[in-house]
This record gives sequence, C-alpha cells and structure tokens, in this order.
Amino acid sequence: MAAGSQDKTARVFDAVGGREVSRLGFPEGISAIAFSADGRTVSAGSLSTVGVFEAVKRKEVSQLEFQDVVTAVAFSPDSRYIAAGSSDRTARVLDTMGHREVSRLKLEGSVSALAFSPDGHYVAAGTSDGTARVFEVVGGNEVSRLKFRDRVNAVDFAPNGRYVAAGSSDDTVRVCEAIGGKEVLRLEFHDVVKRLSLESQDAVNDVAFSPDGRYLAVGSELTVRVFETAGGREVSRVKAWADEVAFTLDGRYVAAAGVDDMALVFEALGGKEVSRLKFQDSVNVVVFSPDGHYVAAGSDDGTARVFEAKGGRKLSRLGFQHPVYSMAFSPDGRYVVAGSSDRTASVFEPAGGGK
Amino acid sequence: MTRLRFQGPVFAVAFSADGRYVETAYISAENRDLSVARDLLRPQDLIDEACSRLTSNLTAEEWKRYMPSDKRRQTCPNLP
Repeated sequence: MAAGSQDKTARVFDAVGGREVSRLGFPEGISAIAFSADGRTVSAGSLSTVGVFEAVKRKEVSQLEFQDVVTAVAFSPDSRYIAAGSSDRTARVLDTMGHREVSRLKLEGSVSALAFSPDGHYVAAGTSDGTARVFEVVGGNEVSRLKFRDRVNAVDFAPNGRYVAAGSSDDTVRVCEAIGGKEVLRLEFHDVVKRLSLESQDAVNDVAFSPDGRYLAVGSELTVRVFETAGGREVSRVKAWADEVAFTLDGRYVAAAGVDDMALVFEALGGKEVSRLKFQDSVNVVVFSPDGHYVAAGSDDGTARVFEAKGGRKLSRLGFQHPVYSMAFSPDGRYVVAGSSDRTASVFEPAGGGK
Repeated sequence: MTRLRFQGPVFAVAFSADGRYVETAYISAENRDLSVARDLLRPQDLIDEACSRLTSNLTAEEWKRYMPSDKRRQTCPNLP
C-alpha cells in the first residue's frame, strides 16, 4: 500500500491481498505522489525525477485461449459473464469476477451467434452447421437443441426467459421453448424472395424480442420486419439490409443497421420511418439509449455516432482508425462506449459533439 | 472523455450493471485469444481506488516541488 519507498521504485499495491499492481523504476527514493485531474495517472517524484504512471492498473480479468479465431462474443445482462465462441468449434463462458471458465461446449460448427438469457443462467449458441443450442452458463449442461438447414446467424431470448428465437441462412426464424426446445413459432422468408423474383436467399441476420416479449424484430438481407410473437402476424415491414436490429425499452421503435451503410429507426407498429443516418461504410452495431431518445451506431468507416431517435439530429461523432464493432450505453444513459479494431475503446457523452 | 488502449482489436464492450466499470473484450494471438479487461470509468472512482492504496498526501514542500503550477490541495481526504 505504499506509494513511495526508499528502494528506488514507485509501487502501487492492491489494497486487497497486497498484490503489486504496478511498478516504476526511479533513480532515487520516492518521496511524493499526486493525481492527474482525471484520476487515471499518478505522478511520483523522487529528489530529481518525476514519473507518471497508471494510478490503478487495469484489472485484466481473464483470458480464454482458443485453437482458432474468435467469432462471437456476448456479455451477460449484468456483465458478470462473457460467452465467447470460436472457429475451433467450442463455446466457453468466463466468470469475469472469479476469473475462471465456468463452462465449455464442444459443438459441430464454428460459433456464429451467442446470447444470454435475461436472468444470466442460460446461453444460446448458434453455429455454422445450422444448430442452435441452449445450455446452462455454469457447467454447460445442454437444455435444448434446434436444427436448421443452414448456418444460424442470430439468437435471442424472450424477456421472460421462456423462449429463444433463432434466425438462419435457411431463410427461417424459429421461436422455441428455451428448455426442451418445443417449437412455438416458425417464420418462413421464402415468400419475399419468390415475390421479388430474386435469385438470392433472404438470410436472417438478426432477431430481437421487444422488451415486453410481444413482438419479434427480424433483420434479413432484404427487409426488417416485426411480428407478433403469438401467432406470427406481421405488423411492419421496412426495406433495408439489416444485420442488426434493436427495440427501444418501451417497445415502440425499432432500429436497424447493416451493409447498406445506414442506421434507421422506425415505428414498430406500421413501420413509419422516424430517422435515418448515413455512413460511409457498413454499420456493424446499433443500440438505443435506456430512455430510447438516442441511437448509437458504429461503422466500418471508423466512426461511432449518436443521433436522436426521432428526427435523426446528429449529436456526437467519434473517429477511430479502424472499424467500430461494438457500442453500449451506461445504465444511466450518461455515457456511451465504443470499441474499435484499432485496439481502443472510447467513453464519451452521447450529446458531447465531437468532430 | 477517455480513450482506453488494449493489446488487440476490441470485439465487444459493455458497462457493468452499477455503471462504474467499462468491460472490454479484445482479441490477440492472431485472433485466437480473448481477454476481458475491466476499467473504472469515473475520475472520482479512480481517485478513491488509488487513495485506498496509498499512505499519505504530498507535504507542502513536496507539492511546491512537483506541482508548482497548482494550488495545494488534499488529494486523498482519507490520508494525512
């Protein structure tokens, strides 16, 4: 717990357990410390030198080592667990508090989709061989399995945790009981392909339940559609290539984004568009703020942007050197975080402006 | 507000349920390893965390030497 010592190093020790978390060499004994304004760094001074180092060294929670590339990652709702899947045909769950792997599943294909149940007890995994499975987070016990004719691209749990939806490149979406796998709804997307006389399929890229569980948004290569979970009646349809779909907390609006370089927001019932933001390249992620007023989206064009859900007024824009793959709002909505393949993550205020 | 650096491309980000931490999953070793980092977000949380590990504040003389441009303040209220 000493910050300055006489042995020519500055050290910060972990208050719990006394583990040394950072060390910096100095030519003489350390006699003083001070914080930077943002609290992130400490200046340590000896008689002739002042050094600056990280005040609280990052707690590297843990690492999962796979035999092949990581293809899918999902955090549990409380962020306690992270599920990761790989082309090595395993899916694993890591307890970020306990720093340990709590389950490991051997699968038949590369992992293409992962989602946690709302209570954090189950994980759904979709694979390239066309299987969706639900298993227990701790222990990895399988509780249901669904078979598709092609790759599973998306999985999502209903808010009550009872059902799981899975969307596949075989142009279908199925909703099943999370435990046991009994099918309760099947949506076929061949009709659109046929009617538009298209040669390509209409692969389902993403699925999302509304927070009350009454509706299911489905993003595909041709449309974004919203269906009633009970019975499957279509309540809206918007033309867009949708890789990502999301509902507002009140369930009134849906956001969609994808490779046609835009993020758009429309009314869940009826499909009336309320905003649209154009990017220079594919949009990889779209999320609503907790109050539903803001939309954050990140793109291959290296920007993370926030705009007003209604009207689309631009609020902030942050530049990265490489694509932005992931974004999230803090629970109070005051901050947004954006992660990029340029090896950085930035935290900023949604209405903070930016270049 | 703050930019965090990692050893590899960032795959996923999330806030902890209490909003105090940013959790970042990044990949390394030719995209085969996944690491999860947890960073405190708010300056005050960072200062509190560091103060809990320190033993004293700067003396008047030390402050004058190392922070000549700033007015002296009690950096860690819990420390002498």
